[in-house]
Amino acid sequence: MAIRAPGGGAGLAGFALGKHQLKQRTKKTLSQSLNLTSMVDFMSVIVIFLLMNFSASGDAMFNQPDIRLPSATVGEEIERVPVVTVSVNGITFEGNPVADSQSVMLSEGDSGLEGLEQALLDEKDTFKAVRAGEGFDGKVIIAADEHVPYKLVRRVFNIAAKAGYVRVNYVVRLATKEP
Amino acid sequence: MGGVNLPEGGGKRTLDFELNLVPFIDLLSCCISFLLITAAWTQLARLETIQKIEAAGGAGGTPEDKIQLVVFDWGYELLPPGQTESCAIKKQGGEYDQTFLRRELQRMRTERPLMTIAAVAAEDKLDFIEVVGVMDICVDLGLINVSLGQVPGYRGEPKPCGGG
Repeated sequence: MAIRAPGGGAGLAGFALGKHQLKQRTKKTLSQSLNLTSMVDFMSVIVIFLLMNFSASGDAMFNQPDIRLPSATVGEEIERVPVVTVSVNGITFEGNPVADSQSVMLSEGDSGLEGLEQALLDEKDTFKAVRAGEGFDGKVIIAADEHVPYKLVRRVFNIAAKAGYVRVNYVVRLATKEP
Repeated sequence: MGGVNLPEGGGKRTLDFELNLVPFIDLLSCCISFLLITAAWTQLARLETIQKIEAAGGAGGTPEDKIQLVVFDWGYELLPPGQTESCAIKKQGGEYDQTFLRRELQRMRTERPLMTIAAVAAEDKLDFIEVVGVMDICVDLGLINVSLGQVPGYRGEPKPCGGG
């Protein structure tokens, strides 16, 4: 492409022109119309897609960096019920540490999980006090790391069942079902 | 700006009018930003179990409607409803054969429509993900009442499932 000397175009070059020439040139508009219809259509499609995929189920969980949830192809929607997290580093109830995983692994029976049992019983009392007219539903969510030993999970759900939480739910990541 | 052309009525005054799209684009941009920031890209779900205290007898139910599945480090052991002899699905190439397990459970479900309870157990040392894999298959096949428990006592050497 050939290199041209500046001038003769729009912008600052206009200052070099005479008054008459400038008047003639300004008759031609320099503004360009931009067709926004396609952009609005595109943005509308994105908004609709994001709204359809919007999910607030993750808000019910206490996300921890040391917990990688196991995946499953089926499952029901998460409800807001008490959450117990189980990882190799520790066991928490509603985000508060209640037991050490290593000591629980080394012990048997209810030993090491007294804190969890007490927290579950307190939560049960609170539920009954707040919702006096309703029956206790006995629901609890266990969010366990996929690589924790089964013994750890077994001991946690046994404590939950002992405290009256018989509807134990395990959190999973929904994966696509293979054909 | 978006322009709309209406048919002229024959008068001198044009009926064109312009719709200001800038606020609309601003609104859409805000919506997209908000939804992108708050989007949950990993979908979470829950697998429900009906849990009993182990000392109280595990999953409950009658022998006619309950299947027992045990996850060992060598594979799966299945005790079909109403039977005393269990069968085994051994690992294939170091991996649990979930495809075979699904097929066997599907066959049992077809033969025994009353079978709706699954009592799943596993060895203590196994990873929790192996148990979830079995629970996932059970729930997917319509076993509405799944419970977890402890490995039962030794029931003898199981024969291979499916008569193989």
